[in-house]
Amino acid sequence: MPIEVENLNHTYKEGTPFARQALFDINLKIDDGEFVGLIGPSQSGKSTLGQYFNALYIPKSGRVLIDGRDTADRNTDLVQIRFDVGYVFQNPEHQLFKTTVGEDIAFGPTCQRCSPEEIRKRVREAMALVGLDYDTFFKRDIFALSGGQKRRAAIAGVLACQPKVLILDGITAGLDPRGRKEILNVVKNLHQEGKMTVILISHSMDDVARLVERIIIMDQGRIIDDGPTREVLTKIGQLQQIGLEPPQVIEVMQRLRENGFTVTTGVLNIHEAISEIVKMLNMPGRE
Amino acid sequence: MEYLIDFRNVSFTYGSATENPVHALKEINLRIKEGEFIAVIGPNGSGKSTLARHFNGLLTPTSGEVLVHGLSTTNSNQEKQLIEIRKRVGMVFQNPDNQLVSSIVEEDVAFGPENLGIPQAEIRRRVNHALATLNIFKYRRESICHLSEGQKQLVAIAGVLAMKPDCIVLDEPTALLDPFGRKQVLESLKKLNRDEGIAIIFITHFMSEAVYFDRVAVMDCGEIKMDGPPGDIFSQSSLIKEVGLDIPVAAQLADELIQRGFPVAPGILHVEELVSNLCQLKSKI
Repeated sequence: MPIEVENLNHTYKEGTPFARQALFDINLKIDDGEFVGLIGPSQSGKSTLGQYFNALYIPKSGRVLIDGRDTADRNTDLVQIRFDVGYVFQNPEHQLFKTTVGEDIAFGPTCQRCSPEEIRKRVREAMALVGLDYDTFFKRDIFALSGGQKRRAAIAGVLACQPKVLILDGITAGLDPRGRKEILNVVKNLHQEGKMTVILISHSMDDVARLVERIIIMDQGRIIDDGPTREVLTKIGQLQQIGLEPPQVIEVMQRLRENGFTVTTGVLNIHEAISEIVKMLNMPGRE
Repeated sequence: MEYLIDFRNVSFTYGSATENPVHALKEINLRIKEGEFIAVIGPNGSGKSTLARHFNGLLTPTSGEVLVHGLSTTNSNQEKQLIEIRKRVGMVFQNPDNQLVSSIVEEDVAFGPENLGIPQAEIRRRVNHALATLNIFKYRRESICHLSEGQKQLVAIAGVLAMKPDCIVLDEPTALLDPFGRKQVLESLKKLNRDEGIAIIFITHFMSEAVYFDRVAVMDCGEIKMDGPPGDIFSQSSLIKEVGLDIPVAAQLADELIQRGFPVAPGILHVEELVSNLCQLKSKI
């Protein structure tokens, strides 16, 4: 289910004195099965763009095609698009609204008019995918969940609709390091085993560096870079200029380079960095 | 010696003692001196926020006692005492939208002092000082909804600063901010601590922020498991990982190199330290 965006513009409060243009002439294509990081500082337009992908916004200027279906076309079934492209919001409390975990996850498939057996099956599967134990959590009160569990429940609710594309907006904010790792592993599995197209919206480079294959960088409503993860992340100057932090391992390599060492800055994790540093230390003499 | 804040065997239980009690704090003993710069880290659900709410009596201990300048937060029959404590210990929460009450920046900052009934001229002075200190004076007439999240958090801190506190407790103030916003907030707090001598108690999930503090307390399961300078804390990598936290990247790299037999200095926390250490090392080889 490819997503195509052509010459898309977006203005908040258009026609009022408070008008603010949030997207400028966005062109972009995301293919089936891609794992994309949509990165940018606050107010760069990344969430606004994300909400066009599942037709929460309909273009007034430009076009958005989901699997060839134009979201601005009157004949397009927008409800179907919203089931096909699932959106998980940053704050799970904005998304969870039923009393118990089970009821909340069942809401989507119930709206899709699934049979009771089908609903039960999907809830079970969705909970398994995000690592929420069915017996423990099915009847658990939403208010009794921790931050990490709430996020899992919110993702499960979207997964139960069986989307083909999953958009995750700032899902690691407020989680502890273990919680971040766990939730990102869930996402990784959805991509690898569930073969889903996953779009991760974030301003944390350390999170996305480990995972995604392609990074799109946004700043002030424009796409300023788009390419393979390693390539985009090693352009440290560009990242810092717009107020983002490159992953710290890359920063270490960059500093070593500035100090006259011949090392590659294209490292994405501790292991790659260590083997590069060891190689450097074992090299005879200093260049 | 009188401490700024003194936790004496503090325990706190959510819910009734008989039905599903959750023991969020277990016999906490923690002393904070004037002007300290301390980070509190710990996994989700370890009791950090419960602890934070005890610093100015938003929650009071189920058993034990919290003293602020020798004043107990438990003596709730003395309303005046609690007001005095809250003047001295200010609180900033994760989401600035939950804390800001006015629509215009300077009105929001004035809200606290206005409620203390102090003279107009003094309010104006305090508001201007707070805004200038946090570098947001130029936004004083702006509508809060037009500010970035990081700027909003600075407004929330300015509002607390205008109360002239001895101590500010911040409960994950950077969790929702982008890297630039986080940097702004952290640098402002450092300045408040250095220039105004205000004690800062900073709760965070970012190890990269914790390393900038003079003291780090690690919470797990309602207890303070470790408490000391960041160098000591993060060199105990197995303990840190056990409670589900991370070691800062520079410390991880240093640790891995030491394990491979390279004579890297122990206690490295910052990228700059690691790089200069490696430069020295290489020049010796």
